[in-house]
Amino acid sequence: MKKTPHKKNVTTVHEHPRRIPVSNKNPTGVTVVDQHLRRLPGTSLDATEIENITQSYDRKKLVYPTAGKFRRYRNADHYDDVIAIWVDYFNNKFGAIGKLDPDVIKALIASESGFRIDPKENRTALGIAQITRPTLKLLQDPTGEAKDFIFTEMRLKDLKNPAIAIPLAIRWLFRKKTTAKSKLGREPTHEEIILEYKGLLRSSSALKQSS
Amino acid sequence: MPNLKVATANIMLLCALSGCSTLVRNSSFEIKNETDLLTELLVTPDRVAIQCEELDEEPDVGAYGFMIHLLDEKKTVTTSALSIRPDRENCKKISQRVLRILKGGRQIYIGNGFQLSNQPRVSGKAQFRYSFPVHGTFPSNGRTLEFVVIANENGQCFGPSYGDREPCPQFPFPIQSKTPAK
Repeated sequence: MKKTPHKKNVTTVHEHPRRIPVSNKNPTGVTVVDQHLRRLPGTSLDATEIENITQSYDRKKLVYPTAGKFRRYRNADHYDDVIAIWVDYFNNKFGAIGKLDPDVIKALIASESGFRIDPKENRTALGIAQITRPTLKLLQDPTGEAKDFIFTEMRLKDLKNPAIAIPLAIRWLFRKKTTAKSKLGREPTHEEIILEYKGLLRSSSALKQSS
Repeated sequence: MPNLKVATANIMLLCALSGCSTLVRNSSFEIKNETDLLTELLVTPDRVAIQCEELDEEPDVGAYGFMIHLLDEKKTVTTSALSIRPDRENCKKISQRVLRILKGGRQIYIGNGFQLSNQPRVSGKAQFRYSFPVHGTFPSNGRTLEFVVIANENGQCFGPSYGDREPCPQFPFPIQSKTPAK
């Protein structure tokens, strides 16, 4: 069976000389940069890059989530633009494993927080997408389960900013799609992907019955 | 089964004060109003059981499921669940606030997301059964609502997502359209 080549997200920068201003410490004006790893462009984002992408993204062919569907929540349509942009962004990144529908993201956010920026009911899950501390850590771990695309320099307080929390949640949902497929042995439905995000896919709880 | 704690209003005390047969006679479950997205229920406290359920799949997250189980007119159990999963301490606080309202009134108003009457009752062997003092133990019926707000006729009111915001209930309750359930 042919193996799919592993997509590289880091490259090795070999030891090389670098020109610097002449100083007492470096009278030759040349220093040596040690060999190190560097993430390839397009495999990580920090908060500033997220903001820039959101502002400059080409909105012409975006698929927006359905407006007016979650009328019982305040601000339900407030984040449609952010959701559309980042679903499109990550569908382009991870489309090979199946695209996500923006309505699924909106439904997830509705159930996680009711579109509230900072729900207080759970101190271990933060923000509009109720991302937990362990999940935030995984999303930034270059050797963890989300290593093919990570975020950098994210702080807990960033999770209370929907413009950052929503892209993180969408990226994480792609990861949950993969883990749900692995657990079920088949393509998961949208409901199953959301259950996996909530940690309920294999739960025997009454809450899962109700979800 | 995961660590379950199902609590009811102090039905035994109500029985002692007003007589259990009176309680059963006056017991009611009614859809006050509903739309395609919302349901308002009026129930007596004897038909209400609440639960904080520890969720088993991610024990390190410490999330719980808060649910209100309601005995309907067909003697089956509908569940109104809080969509956000609180931590243990907050689930306990929510339970206490809800219990206070159940104990403080005879007619309980519950505002929920989702429409109830368009959901079929699932019959057959139910996975979960719930006990209601005075009435007995009954199976879940597969019908689900999203718990938003609870109040009684004496002005006590609580919505877990409201925080300190007034009024209670607040948008989208009470339902503005005059379309009572069929």
